[in-house]
Amino acid sequence: MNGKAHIEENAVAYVLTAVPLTQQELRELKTILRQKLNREFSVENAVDDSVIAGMSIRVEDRVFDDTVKTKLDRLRERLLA
Amino acid sequence: MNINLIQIVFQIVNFTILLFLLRKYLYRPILKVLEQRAKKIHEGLEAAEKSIEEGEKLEKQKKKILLEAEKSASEILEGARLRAKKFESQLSEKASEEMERRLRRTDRMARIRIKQLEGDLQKKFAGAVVDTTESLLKSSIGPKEQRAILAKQLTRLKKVQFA
Repeated sequence: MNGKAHIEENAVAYVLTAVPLTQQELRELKTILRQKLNREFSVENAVDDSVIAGMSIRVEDRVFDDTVKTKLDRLRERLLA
Repeated sequence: MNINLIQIVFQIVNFTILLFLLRKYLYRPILKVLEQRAKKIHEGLEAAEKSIEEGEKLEKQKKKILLEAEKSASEILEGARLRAKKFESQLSEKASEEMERRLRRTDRMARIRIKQLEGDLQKKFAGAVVDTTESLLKSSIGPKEQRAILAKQLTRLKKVQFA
């Protein structure tokens, strides 16, 4: 045992943004995912300007949606409820 | 002058006999008849007086009955008038209560409707505000802002617990 945590094999993280992620942003994201989930991820970046800004990450069955569009939609739902 | 004594005596006897006969056969019956007649008249007068008295008594009774009837009619009328007044007052009260109740109901419904409309208006306004905000953001977020938002989110991602 060398004390290092076991790093699992590659998985895919799907990221949706309004503009393409830069290399630095991609690297930073991979690092965060590795630290959080103990795995190496390859990132597939889809671009859709309808999200306005921010990112939505889907990793396996988990979703982290922080886009401006989603926030506005939630606000609209709350106000119209 | 020649006074015939026998004739005088004879006349006296004759007269006496006549008187006796008249008294027995005429005077007494006539007297009886007269007495009876007088009695009848007297009875008739008494009856008439009694009749008058009865009449007066009846008249008094009649007046008394009329007075009582008038009094009774007056009481009945008064009673009817009071009942009518009471009924009118009750009707008026009921009508007033009914009107009050309808006004309250209308007021309640109006308030509910106003609240509904306010709600609808608020929702429409909120929807419009969100839509406007969305449009504004779309047009105002440039590349610089995009990068800044992504950087901020990456920082926040570091603190998120991935369950």
